[in-house]
Amino acid sequence: MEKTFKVLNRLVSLNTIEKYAIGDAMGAMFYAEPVSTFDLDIFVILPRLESGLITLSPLYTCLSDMGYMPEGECVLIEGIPVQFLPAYNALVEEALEHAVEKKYNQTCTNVFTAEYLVAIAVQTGRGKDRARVRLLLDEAEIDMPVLENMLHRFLLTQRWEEWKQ
Amino acid sequence: METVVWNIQNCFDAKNKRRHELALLPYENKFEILLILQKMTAPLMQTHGKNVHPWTITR
Repeated sequence: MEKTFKVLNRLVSLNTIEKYAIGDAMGAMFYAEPVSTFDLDIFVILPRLESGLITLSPLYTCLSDMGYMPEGECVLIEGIPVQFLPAYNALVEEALEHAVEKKYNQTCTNVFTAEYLVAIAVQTGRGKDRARVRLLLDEAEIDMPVLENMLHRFLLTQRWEEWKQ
Repeated sequence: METVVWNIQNCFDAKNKRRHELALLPYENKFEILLILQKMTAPLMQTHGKNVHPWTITR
């Protein structure tokens, strides 16, 4: 795992990605009990090309040059299938801006805060997201005013109220 | 009946306590648990047609 984080940090130092943060199940694991998952979801801000386009191609090329090949939707990095997800909306962009640094042994990495993990799960809205929200609410220290403000700003209050019932 | 309810409540409380203890573990330890969970769940998921494989980590 540490080797995978080192590769991610290397991608930042090479400016192949501007910023990254761990999200979804592996992100939630920083705050809650471990739950089985089979990929590492990495949310990224990519450098904008001269054309204004945002594409994963330079990232995949860089990883390929480093010897890490795509495998389905993921790239296998040091034994871990990593799925790179470009920030796809304002909530994810904001979550990336506010990502926090965590250490894995001697290596630093970036993770979404627990509040953003909950908000993104509410927004995504699948069954497994609902389970993750329940897990985080039970086990993580959630700043409820911060979360409720976030949910209000991103128009997620209605689903939040439904899920709370 | 009261004893049975009391025992069940004890089980729930113990399980809840254990989950909170797991949540407080260092990430490195949680990662080791995850690798065990993957080995346990992958065969089940594969029988349901999911293409999942436990991670092979080089140390």
